[in-house]
Amino acid sequence: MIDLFKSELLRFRLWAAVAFAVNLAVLSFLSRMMDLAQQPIFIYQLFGMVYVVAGALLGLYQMGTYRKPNQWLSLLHRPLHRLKIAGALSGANAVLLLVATALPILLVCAYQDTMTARVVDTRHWLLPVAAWWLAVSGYLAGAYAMVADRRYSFAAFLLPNLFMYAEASGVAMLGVQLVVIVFLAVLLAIAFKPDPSSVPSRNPLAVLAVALPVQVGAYFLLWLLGFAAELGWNVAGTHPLNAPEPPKGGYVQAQRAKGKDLLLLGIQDSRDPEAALWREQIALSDVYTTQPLRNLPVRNSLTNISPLEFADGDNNLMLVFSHDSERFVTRGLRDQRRIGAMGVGAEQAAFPAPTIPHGAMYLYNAHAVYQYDSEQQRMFERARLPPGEVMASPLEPAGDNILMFSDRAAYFFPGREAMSSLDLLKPLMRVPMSGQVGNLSRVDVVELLDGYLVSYTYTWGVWSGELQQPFQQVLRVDGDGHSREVTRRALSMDLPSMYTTRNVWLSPVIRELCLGAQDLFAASDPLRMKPQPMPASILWLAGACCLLSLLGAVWLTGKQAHSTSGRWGWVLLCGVIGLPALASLWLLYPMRERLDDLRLAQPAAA
Amino acid sequence: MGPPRRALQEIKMKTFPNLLGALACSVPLWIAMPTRADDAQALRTAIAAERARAPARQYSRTAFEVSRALQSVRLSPDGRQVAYLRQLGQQRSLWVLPTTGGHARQLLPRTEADELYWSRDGRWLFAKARRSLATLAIEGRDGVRIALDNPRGMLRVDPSQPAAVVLRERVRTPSGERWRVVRRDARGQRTPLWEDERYIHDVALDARGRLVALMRFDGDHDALYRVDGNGRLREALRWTTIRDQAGLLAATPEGDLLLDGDVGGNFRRVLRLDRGNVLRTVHADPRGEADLDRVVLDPATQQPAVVSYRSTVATTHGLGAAQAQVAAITRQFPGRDIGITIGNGPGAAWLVSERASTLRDARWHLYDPRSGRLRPILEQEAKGSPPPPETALARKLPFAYRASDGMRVHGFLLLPPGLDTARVPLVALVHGGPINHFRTDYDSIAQLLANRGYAVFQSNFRGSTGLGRDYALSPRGDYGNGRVQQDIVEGVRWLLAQGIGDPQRVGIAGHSFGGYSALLGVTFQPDLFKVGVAGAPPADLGWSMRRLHEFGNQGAGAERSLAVTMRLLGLDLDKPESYAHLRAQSPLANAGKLRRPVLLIAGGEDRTVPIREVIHYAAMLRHLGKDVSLYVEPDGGHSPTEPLPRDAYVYLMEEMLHRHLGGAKPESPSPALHAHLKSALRIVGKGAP
Repeated sequence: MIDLFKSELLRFRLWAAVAFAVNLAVLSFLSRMMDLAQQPIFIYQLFGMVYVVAGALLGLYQMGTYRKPNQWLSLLHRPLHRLKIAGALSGANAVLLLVATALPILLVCAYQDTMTARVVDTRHWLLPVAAWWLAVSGYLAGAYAMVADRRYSFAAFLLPNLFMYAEASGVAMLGVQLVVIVFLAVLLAIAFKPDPSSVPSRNPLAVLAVALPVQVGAYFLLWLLGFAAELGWNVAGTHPLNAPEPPKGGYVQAQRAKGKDLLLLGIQDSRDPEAALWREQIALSDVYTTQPLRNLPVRNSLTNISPLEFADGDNNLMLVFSHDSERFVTRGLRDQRRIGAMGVGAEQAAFPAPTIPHGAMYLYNAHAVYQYDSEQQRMFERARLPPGEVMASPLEPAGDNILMFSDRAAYFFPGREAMSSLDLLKPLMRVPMSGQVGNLSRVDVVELLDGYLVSYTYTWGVWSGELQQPFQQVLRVDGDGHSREVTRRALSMDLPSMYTTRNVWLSPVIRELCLGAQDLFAASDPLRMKPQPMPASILWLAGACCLLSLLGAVWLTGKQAHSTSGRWGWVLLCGVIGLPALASLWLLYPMRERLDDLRLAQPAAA
Repeated sequence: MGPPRRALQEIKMKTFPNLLGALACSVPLWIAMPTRADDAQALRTAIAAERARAPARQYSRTAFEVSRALQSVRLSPDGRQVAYLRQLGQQRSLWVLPTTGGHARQLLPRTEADELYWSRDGRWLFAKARRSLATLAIEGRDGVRIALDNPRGMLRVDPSQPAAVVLRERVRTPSGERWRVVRRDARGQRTPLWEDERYIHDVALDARGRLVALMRFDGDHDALYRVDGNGRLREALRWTTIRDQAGLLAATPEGDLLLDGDVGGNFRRVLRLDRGNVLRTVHADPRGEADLDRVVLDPATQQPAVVSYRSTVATTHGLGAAQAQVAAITRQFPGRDIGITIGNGPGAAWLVSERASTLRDARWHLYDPRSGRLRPILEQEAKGSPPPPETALARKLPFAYRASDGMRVHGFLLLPPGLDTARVPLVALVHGGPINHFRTDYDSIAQLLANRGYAVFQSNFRGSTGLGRDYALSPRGDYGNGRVQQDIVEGVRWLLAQGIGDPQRVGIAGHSFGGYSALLGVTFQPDLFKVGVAGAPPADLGWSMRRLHEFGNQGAGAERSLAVTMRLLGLDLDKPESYAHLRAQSPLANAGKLRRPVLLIAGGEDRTVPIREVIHYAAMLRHLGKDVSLYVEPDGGHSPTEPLPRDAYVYLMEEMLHRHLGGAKPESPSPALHAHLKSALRIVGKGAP
């Protein structure tokens, strides 16, 4: 085994060396130009994709060279257990990927830590591991895709895609990567046998493991096919996004409307005695529109939503948030010399959570908003949320006052004190939010003589099946902060419910599985909401699909070679999972050959 | 050698920030007519003179804008150099001109400074910007930059040191804030002088640089304290401030304090407080009607040397040894408003500024006290856009009339030259504040309206400042459709009775409080006022005051209390009944009565009169089907500052008055203005183009 491992190492050593050199050169160049530890998330995603693709190509190539029948027999015809052979091959490539991906990042990390004043936190030292595991997951997916039956094996490439959507962060994200790697390794182990195209028949768990990515793949494929319907609506010119005027009273109209128009739509049917005057006021006023945050910076996350840094040109300062010290680390803007650290207030207290610059004036984290005063070179806490609430939108101007949202309420703070002092602001009023912030897509506020009209529009997730009852609510908030509902307007989805919920009725089980995978090891996020329950009609449709799938499985398994328990197991699986399971059944098992299908050999013509 | 000439240092009176941000009185101007016209005959004589002048052609709107080319012209204490800021486009530079002749020298090609101060030794300049103070050596390249924690952090040049200033610093503490007075020398060396829990308005230093007195805001009044050798405070005086802070001018070697203020009397004047705390008047307006506007000290003796009064007729007087020279200068500028800074030494030049209501941009002269000759300087530097010639501009005619309750009310009148005054439309311009006043100086809007053929009445109704404490406090809270408004209305009717203005073509315009008055006029006096133009108008003054106190940018602060000022004016913010009449008499509550067209102008970011108040009123008028126009400068503050919004303001006013009163047609808007109006004009009134 060790010989095979060594030979594989030697075989790809040049590739690894070149990849190492290129990776190091690119990272070094970029590191000279910018602080690689403080890049927005898409930069890390871009590098991650490159590593996954590189690993996948390596897996495809390596196994592709062995997968030809003669080489495969030769490979496996060794006095070694098949799993040891697989372990030697994949182990060697894992080492090579370590050199090509993790080592350059490690070197750049070490450079930044020892030779620059940039911030290198513990979380940054995990980046080499993450990059390596990304590449390894790509490699295993590629290797499995090449080794197993290609009718379904490419479904394995879906698994690394989970990294794009996973909610976990930091070490938890490494856990997600590890789970995917283990799962792909299991798949490769299952397929790594003399007849890799055959589906294991005796081990139901192995069957499920092989079938799972195929079913998920079929699920996504069917879901994607739904877009053909949208294409048709586009061609016909009836798609709500492409129509000259969006459907009235719908989601698209609410999304596109200017704040003024949306508020007018919101109160168009109001019988409030003041409504007529409000209409005039709205038409003349500036409307302040806010969209809530979808993510907050998480302590020790591997990446950044956006850079946690800002510059103070007047004082020649660069301030970078350190997750380790929970303070802003300061260095010279021009000489790049390390200066010190800056916490909150005169006490230089630690920030309670990673803190991110917002606009020209403020910084925020999950719990509070801060202001940096360049003259005193000090951070001041300006607004604080009550315990149990998290930031949904930091301070934004709203006429005389400034506005902040938590996941539960809107807070109005005095604009005068905000401008004239650096003290902690006391909210003038708190307006509770009746809906869920995870469904909130926008808030539109207009000042009245005493108070505000506030419009909450809850449409987030309406086309992804997460929100079933979108609506707009308009509140009248008086000068003392008392609010009353003026109108609540149900909004239509603009697309058929059957279309927007297809990710559910295609397979409620796989949807739950996907949502579970997305939240694997992730801390709960108050800014995200659980999907709303489906309408009964959609549940009936899902049941019908499962029944159809069950019946299809009865028919299909009759034409495939299965043991009795295997056959009824599949029938049951199709009944539970639905159409994607039926698709996987069709892909995994060839149809049983019938005698009359066999073409009789014709005697050669004399 | 003869005795050294007194070096005179001009002390600019510190002004209380605009209470309601008056625009109408924001441009410094100076009087052309030294005539006191407190009776009809005197006014008729002046009117006849205006009637006899040649009519003026129409000038472009931009020609009336005061040039910003030359700012902060300052004579060095030794009289050898004049420093000034020069604005070219967006770039401001700092220059020094030798008074002995020769070319000006550029010290800084680019600066953010808006105010210059000379050090006592004349070897350093202090260039103050909004948040910083730069020191500059006149010879060499030395200098430091000192951060100011607020725009009013500069207290004064330290008269006890060769080159130092006294600054006020705000110190944040866990429980609030404290105020520190420090000396900063030209090289940045910092010496703490005092620290206090209260806001320090001003300080006085003795010859050794020790702080001997301070003026402090004590929550509900101002107070003057003497500081003894042990750092203990002894209260010497206390008073309440209406608008302009009292100032500590100097401490004499005998221990007397010189100050300017209206403490212990009606008018603001130069005062001397001796060691026994006996207060004496050093100089007050000889006419007995105006507050002191500016005082210039002799830095050698710390005695007042030149005083000026500018509320009705601009007069400048010399005191003591300067009396004869000042009189000689003013004789050479009959009818002009003269400002004087004196150099220290027998050969030192004096700097003389020349202003008038018909002179758009100030002129500058150097005076040789030995020969008595005057030499104009900075003529090229002062040139911006060409101003209208003085022959085309209207002279400001000061006059007074008896209100129906017998009180003598002041105002100014501008008449279009050469026109029949009985047939011209009349516009009443109301100043903001209301604690503010129209001055004797050039006023761009009034001049433009006069050039367009309107007679312009600028009312310094009771409640205005500059005319004594009693005058300012006389409304006793009657700011609705009451006594103050009556002063304006009666002033208009009095002018009509004198044959000034066509009674069928009278309009009213103003900004801030003036805008409020304009709304009151078209709401309650529609038979008199046919049209109203209201800039940043509070539609309900009671609501505005309350809101300004609670949320506005001029509420309770360390340096003053709006509530205290309001109480002085007869409006107790803690007693709603004291201003309930303002709500009942407000244009908002009486919107249904409006019968005249009205133009509303507002700033989208106004922190004094919030845009929501103007919009609420405009929406109400629209809802009621009234003829209203609304222009909102998107990012504008209480008054427009940028050229395009200023042009829009004036154009809309011109157009509105032309349409409803028949004055000259405004020149067409430029493409840029047209585009701006398209987006900023939120309601277009009936019949508007």
